[in-house]
Amino acid sequence: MDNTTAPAGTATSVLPLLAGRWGGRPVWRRRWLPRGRLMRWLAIAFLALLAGWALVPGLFASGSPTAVNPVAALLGPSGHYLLGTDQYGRSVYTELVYGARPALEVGLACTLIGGLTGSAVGIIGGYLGGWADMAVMRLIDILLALPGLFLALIFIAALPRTVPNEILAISISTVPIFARVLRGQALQVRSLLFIDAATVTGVRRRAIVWRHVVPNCMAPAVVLAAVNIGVAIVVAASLNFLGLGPSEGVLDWGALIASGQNYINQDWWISVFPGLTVALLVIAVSIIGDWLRDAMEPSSG
Amino acid sequence: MLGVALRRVAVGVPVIVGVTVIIFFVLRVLPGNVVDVITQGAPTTPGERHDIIVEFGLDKPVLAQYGSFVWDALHGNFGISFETREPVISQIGSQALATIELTAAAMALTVVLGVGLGVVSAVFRDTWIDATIRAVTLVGSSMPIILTGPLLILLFSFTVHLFPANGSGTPSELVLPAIALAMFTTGVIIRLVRNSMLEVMNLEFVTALRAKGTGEARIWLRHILRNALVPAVTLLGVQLGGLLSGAVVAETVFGRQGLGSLLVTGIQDKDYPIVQAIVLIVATAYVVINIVVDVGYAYLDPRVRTRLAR
Repeated sequence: MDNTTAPAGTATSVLPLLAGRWGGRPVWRRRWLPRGRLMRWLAIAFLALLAGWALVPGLFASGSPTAVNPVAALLGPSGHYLLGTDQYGRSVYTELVYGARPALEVGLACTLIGGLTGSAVGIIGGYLGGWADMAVMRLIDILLALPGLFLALIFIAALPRTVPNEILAISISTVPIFARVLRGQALQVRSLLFIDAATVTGVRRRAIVWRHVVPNCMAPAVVLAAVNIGVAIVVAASLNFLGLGPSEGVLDWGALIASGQNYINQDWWISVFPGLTVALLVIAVSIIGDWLRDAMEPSSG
Repeated sequence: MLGVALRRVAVGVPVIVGVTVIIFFVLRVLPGNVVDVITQGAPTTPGERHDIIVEFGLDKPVLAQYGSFVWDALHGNFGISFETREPVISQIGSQALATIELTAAAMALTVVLGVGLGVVSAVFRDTWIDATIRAVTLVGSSMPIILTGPLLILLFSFTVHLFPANGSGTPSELVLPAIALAMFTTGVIIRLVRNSMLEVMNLEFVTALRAKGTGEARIWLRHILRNALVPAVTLLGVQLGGLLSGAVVAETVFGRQGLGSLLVTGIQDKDYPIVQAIVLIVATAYVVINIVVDVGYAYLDPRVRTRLAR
């Protein structure tokens, strides 16, 4: 069980907990999700299904997601309309399928851009130490003082509503989390003996960073990235729900939920099914994230 | 004690200054010509443009504008709304209470349910009770507010007519949004309390208590829980950030008044003074509350005091 391996006194060590250091894994990050292969395979299957939707939507849904058909408006789930129809008579299922690509694009792009930037900043600060680390720490503190959505919202407010700008805003809000975790990891790696050995034998600093520090920081970055894809998709869906998404009318799950909310009384399927899709996606990536963590860090399980 | 407080404030002040820099420069430099933003692209004469430039102090150098932005903010003056041309602070003042109400209600739910269910989960670890709580927590904290909101409305406003679907003012209108908002943070706290109780459970002093013949209830509630709550308090301060940004979504979902919905309309209308003021106030409140939590916590726990003072 997960409770037996805890080092004595962990509950009292507050600073590592706040700093989110990977080695002394923060208490709230410890195993929580159901173990077992079944859950893992279900999660993989669901993500594969979403990937299929995103890559070849035409294979999974017939007809166009935007074809308006007033005669068939607001029909409940049936054999013909698997998840019912919305107020314009469009099949909710088809909209879900076609919404997968923009959602996954945003999730992956934000995680890639924000994750790489944050990781680079964190590793530089953690490895170099000194004033560079001070600067990185202060930057992280400042960005984290703008909780969750707020950091993204500042950029959403300032920039025109386009998909690239939405990606930029969410990417920026991803940076501090990656920077904090990777800084901690780089600090730990730096204190390991083989780094000293490399330094003493005259390996150049750049080579040490690329050959030794970066590879040893990969595990937490990959785990964080897996989970962050889900987070970014939720943030994007929430922004679109609030009417702050791209203005060019991208098909989006969040916007679908928002439009369905006016009909929630009778025609609940418009909001509920896209919402469930997002929730299942979050659960699936958490399971995958936990699995990756176990696979990559056998010592901390 | 005082050392800890000073240290935290010394870190907090530059953070707030950094936040003002981001807020001011992102919303002043990125949008392009501010006059066009204010006029919303409507045709204007050079004279009108000049009036706007003077009215909003845009003729001064940018650094001077930043200086007066900070100076005025310190005096509770956040400028004039681009939309209504009224002082921002009066609009915010009327909305802040609704948001504080919602966040406080959600925080109370988080503390009560989080700690309560966390304890139950730890005491009945590895039984069906624990498994149920964990499964429900996983599902509950994975659902975004844009799903839980409509779901709660569907279930408790339309199917069972218990609570109103939207509005703000009466306590019954607070119930659903607070539940939707607290769902995620409660999950985090349950998880933390359970796991840290299980860690404290294995410490030697617990064995000593058992050997002494202390009753189980007393051991769990008085000794294990108390020690396990230590990290939970810090995490609650951090989770406040989640509640504040969740409130932006929750207020829109449930059609409530508050800073969140004011912020959303402010962004839609490109009313930057409103956006600046709300973000700055929220960030400051967040930082200040976390300093208070840290200091209060160092006061309560001498081990933390030495750790923070290092």
